[in-house]
Amino acid sequence: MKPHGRHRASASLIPDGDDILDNNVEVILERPPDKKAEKDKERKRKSRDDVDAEFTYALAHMTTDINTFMMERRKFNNKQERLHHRGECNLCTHFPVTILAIGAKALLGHLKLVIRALSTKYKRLSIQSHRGFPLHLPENVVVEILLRLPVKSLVRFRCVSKRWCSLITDPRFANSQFRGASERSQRLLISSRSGIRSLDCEARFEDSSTPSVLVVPFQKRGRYVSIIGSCNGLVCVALYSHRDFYIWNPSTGNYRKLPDPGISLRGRKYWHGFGYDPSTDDYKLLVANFRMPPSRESEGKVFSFKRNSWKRILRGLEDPGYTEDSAGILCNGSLHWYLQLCCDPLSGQKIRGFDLAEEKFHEVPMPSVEYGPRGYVCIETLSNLGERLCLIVCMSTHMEIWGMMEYGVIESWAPMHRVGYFRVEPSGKDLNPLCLSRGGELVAMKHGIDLMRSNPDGEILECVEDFSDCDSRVCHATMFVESLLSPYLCLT
Amino acid sequence: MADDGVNTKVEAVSKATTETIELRTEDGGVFDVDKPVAMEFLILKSFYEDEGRVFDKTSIRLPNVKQLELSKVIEYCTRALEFGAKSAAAAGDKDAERMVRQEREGFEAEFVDELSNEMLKELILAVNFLDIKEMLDFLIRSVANRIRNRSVAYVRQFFDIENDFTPQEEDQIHQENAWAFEGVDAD
Repeated sequence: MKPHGRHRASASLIPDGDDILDNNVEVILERPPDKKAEKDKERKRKSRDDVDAEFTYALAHMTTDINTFMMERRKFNNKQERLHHRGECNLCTHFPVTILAIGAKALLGHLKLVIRALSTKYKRLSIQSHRGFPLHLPENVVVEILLRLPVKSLVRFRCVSKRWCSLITDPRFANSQFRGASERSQRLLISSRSGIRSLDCEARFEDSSTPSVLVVPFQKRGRYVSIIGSCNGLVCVALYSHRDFYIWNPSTGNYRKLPDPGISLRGRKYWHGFGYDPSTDDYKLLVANFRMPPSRESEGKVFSFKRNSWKRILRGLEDPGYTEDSAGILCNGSLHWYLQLCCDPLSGQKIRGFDLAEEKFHEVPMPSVEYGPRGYVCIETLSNLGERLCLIVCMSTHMEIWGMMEYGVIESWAPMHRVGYFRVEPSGKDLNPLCLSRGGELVAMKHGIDLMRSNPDGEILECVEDFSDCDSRVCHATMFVESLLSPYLCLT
Repeated sequence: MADDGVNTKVEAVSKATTETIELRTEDGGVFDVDKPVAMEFLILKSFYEDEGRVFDKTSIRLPNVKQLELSKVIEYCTRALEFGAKSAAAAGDKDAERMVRQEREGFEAEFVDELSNEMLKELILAVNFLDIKEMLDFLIRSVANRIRNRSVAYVRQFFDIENDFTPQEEDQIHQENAWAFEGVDAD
C-alpha cells in the first residue's frame, strides 16, 4: 500500500463512518485529474474567502476525525493485545490493524504534515468568527474611530502597527482630532524634585500616588525647567530666563528648540509669555527684560511660528513697577501681567495686556472693589480659570477669586470662587490657581509646594503637601490640554 | 425568514397605510420594512430618488447584508426615528427633552451592550454598505468607547492587525510615553 494511496485503496482500508476523512483526503492531497480537476476550477471560481472558509472547516473536521480514528485504533489495538495474550486473537477478521498500521500510519503522518502547514498558514484565521476568516473594517472607518479616542489612548495605540502609527502621527489627523474633540482632557504639569510630572486634573491627587515622571527629552542635568505657559497642548519652557526656549508637547514628547532671542543677560526682571492667536493662526512667544535703572532701555522681543524669527517690541515696555518674574497669562488672544506701579493700592495696580495679533500692549481694567477693612486687603496673582481672566482678592477673613466674565468689561468682574485661609498669614502670593476641573473645583498650588483642590465654597477637598520643589523664582506648574499637535505647525 | 417581532414593532409605530418595501438578505432572510425606515438607508434612498423610480413593493436583494445584521439595523433605525419624533414633540420643554435624551441613551447603551465585538464589526460593515449615517456614527462611537482604555494587544486582536514593529521599536514607544500605558484595563 502506498502512503499516498489513491482514494479507492484508502476506502478499503478505512472502515465505516470515515468517508469524511476519505473526501478530505481527496481535497488536500494530490487530486487525480479530470473529475476532480473540474471541482478544483469551480472552487477557484468562488471567492477566495469561500475557499478559505472551506479549508478551515475541512481542517477542523480532519483534525477531529484523525483524533477519533487514532482513538479507535488505540482501543482496538489494546483489545487485540489482550485477546492475543488470552489466545483469542482475531487479527485477520475485524479491524485490519496490521495492514492499516503501515498504510494508515504513513497516511496519518502525511496528514499531520499537511495540517501543520495549513495551521501555520491559517493561524490568523479567527475561528471565533462565524465567517471563518477575519473581518477587516475599511480604513476610513478606522480613522473615524481613532478620531473619537482621547489623546492618551491614541499615544498608546501608536504601538499597534506601523500603519496606525503613521495615521496617528499625521499632522492633519492631529488637527482634526484637536478641533473635533468634544472633551479635551486637562492635565497638570508640575515641576518636582523627581522631575516633571503629569497628572490628571479630574482624578484625586492621592490616587495618583506614582504619577509618571515625564521624560523631558531636552532637559539638562541639574537645570530646572521653567514653565512659561501652555496652549493647545503645547507647553513653552525655558532652561534659562532668556534663552534656551523649547516648545514641547508632553503628550507626544515632540519638541522644538527656538532660536535664541539675543536679549542681553543682565536684567532685573523678566517677563515671558506664550500663546496662540486664532485670528492669525499663529503661536507667539514674548520675552522681555526690564533693566535698572530706568535710564537704560528695556528689551522685548516676540517670536512668531509663522515668521519663524524674533521681532523687537518698540513700545510699551515702560517700567513694570513692582512685579515678579512672571509668565504672562493667556486669555482672549492676549498675554497679561499684573503689576503695581507704586505703593498706592488704589491707583497703582494695573493689568497690562499684550495683544498677540497686533503685538501691542494695552490695558485691561481692574475690578472696582472697595479697599479697606471691610473690603479687600490686597489683590494678587493673575490666572486664567475657565477661559476667564482672574485675580485673587484677599479679604480680611478669606480670599476670593474674581473673574472677568466678559473680557474688557469692567462691570463684569465678579467673585467666582472662595478660598479659606491657610495656616500661614493671608497673602495672594501664596496661592497659584492652576485650573478648574470639569466639576468646577479649583486646583491650585499653595506656597509653591503643596497641591490642593477646593470647591467654590472654599472647602479644601484635598491637599497633598510637599508635592513640588520650593524655589519661588521658578514657575512650578501649569495646566495643559492633551493634544497631538506638533510644536512646528500651526492649526491650518 | 421575516422577523415578526420587528415587523410588529414597525407596524405599531407606523400608520396602517405606510408603504413597505421587501428586503432580502444574502442568507435568505426576507424583511418587510417601512418606507421611512428604509429611506434611512441612503443606498436605497438614492436608488429610488436618483433613478426616479416609483416606490412600489418590489423586492430588493442586499448582497452584503445578513439576516441578523439587518434585523438589528431595522431595530435601531426604527427606534431612532421614534426618538427623533419624540424629541421634536418635546422641543422647548427642557424636562421633556432631557427625558427623551435619557431614554435614548438607555436604549443605545442596552443595544450596544448585547453586541459582541464580532457583531459590532459586522454591523459596521453592513451599515457602511447601506450608508446609514446616524447609525454608523453611533456604532463608531461605541467601538471607540469599547477600546479606549484597552491594551495594545486587545486592540490588535479586535481589528485583526498584525504587529509589524520589532520588540525593540515597541519598547521604545513604551518608554517614551510610559504615562499613556498606565491604568489600562487588564485583558
